[in-house]
Amino acid sequence: MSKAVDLAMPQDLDLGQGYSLRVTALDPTTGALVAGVKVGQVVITATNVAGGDIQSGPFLLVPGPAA
Amino acid sequence: MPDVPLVANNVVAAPKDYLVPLAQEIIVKSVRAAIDGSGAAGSYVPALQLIAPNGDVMLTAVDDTTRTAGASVDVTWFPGVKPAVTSSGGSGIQFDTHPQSGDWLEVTTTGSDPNNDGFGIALTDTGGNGIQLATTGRSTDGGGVYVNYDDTTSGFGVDTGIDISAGGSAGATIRGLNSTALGGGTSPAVAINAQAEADASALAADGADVSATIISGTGAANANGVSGSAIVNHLAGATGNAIGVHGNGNNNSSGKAVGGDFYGNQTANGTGDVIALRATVNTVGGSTSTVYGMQVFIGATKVFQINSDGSLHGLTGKSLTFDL
Repeated sequence: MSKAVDLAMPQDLDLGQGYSLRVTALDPTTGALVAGVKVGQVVITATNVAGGDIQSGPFLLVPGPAA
Repeated sequence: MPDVPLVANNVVAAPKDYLVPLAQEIIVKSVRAAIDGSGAAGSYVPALQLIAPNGDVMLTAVDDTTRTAGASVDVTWFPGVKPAVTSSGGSGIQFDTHPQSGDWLEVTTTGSDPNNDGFGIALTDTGGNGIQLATTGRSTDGGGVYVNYDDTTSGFGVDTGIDISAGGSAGATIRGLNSTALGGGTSPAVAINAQAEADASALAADGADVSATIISGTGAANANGVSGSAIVNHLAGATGNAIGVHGNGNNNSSGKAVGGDFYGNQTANGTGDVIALRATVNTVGGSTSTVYGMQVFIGATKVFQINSDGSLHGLTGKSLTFDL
């Protein structure tokens, strides 16, 4: 089982079209991408500011209880 | 407006991106990611980056702890989260980091390490590089590295040797229980036992300019720094001298021993000898008259001897003269 870790991120991160959130693994010394690391499930919790149906792009939108 | 979760379950080689599509606008509350480092080529830190439409990295939120290759973590990024270890008092000891410094460090343990013979604290060097404790001194407790002894066994347990040295003019001091010197109390508080086969010298002074005294005692009951066979023990079957005192002074114009002195100072009400040289001779397999009790050499020449039968013998052709 993987170790659970909580890390800080900026507050009120308001993202519009064309911006990306990237999960990655960096070399602690050089900052370069470390080969061989895999990223499994990613869950983004967000508020839909634009209104209407949220566009999930390549991600899945989890249906609510009433869906 | 309720928060919604956006989920991607597929496993891909890092990095993994979520591109805000079309006319979408979202406020990110948290991001959770399962990172599999089992195949990592090296150590890594999990990172969350915000990428601008032109590809620029706008921010990177990273872990303070480096994950070793092979380690996997389940990371959640929240606004306002602070690493617990940095809440106060420094960031802890980390490997492969230099320098690590702070105002002070106190380590207390109450349990035993099940992986290292049950010690509360164990420092082990398996690389053959040694372990160093260094200090610039302390105004109390004799300065230097202070080993506090409060158990019924010796403070030092040494298998292969210990090197105690101090800079400056005071020299090095070894103190036993209750701050007495060697041999304090009813039994030696500190025992120094040399077991090396090549060199059986337990104590040796190298280049002592001020004083060649390396053992001294201040106990009230026994003012001798070294006494009895409990401290100096010539084991049966051993060859060589049981106790050897060897002075190697270069120049002493005032006369008395260039090499070394035996100096006795019995101050009050003493009942024993101030200085006594005693020889106990075993007579196994021979006449006692031919067994030497004591011999005196000048250089390599034997000039005087006392046989075990009490007869005195001097160098041939020399007379015994009383004219001092």
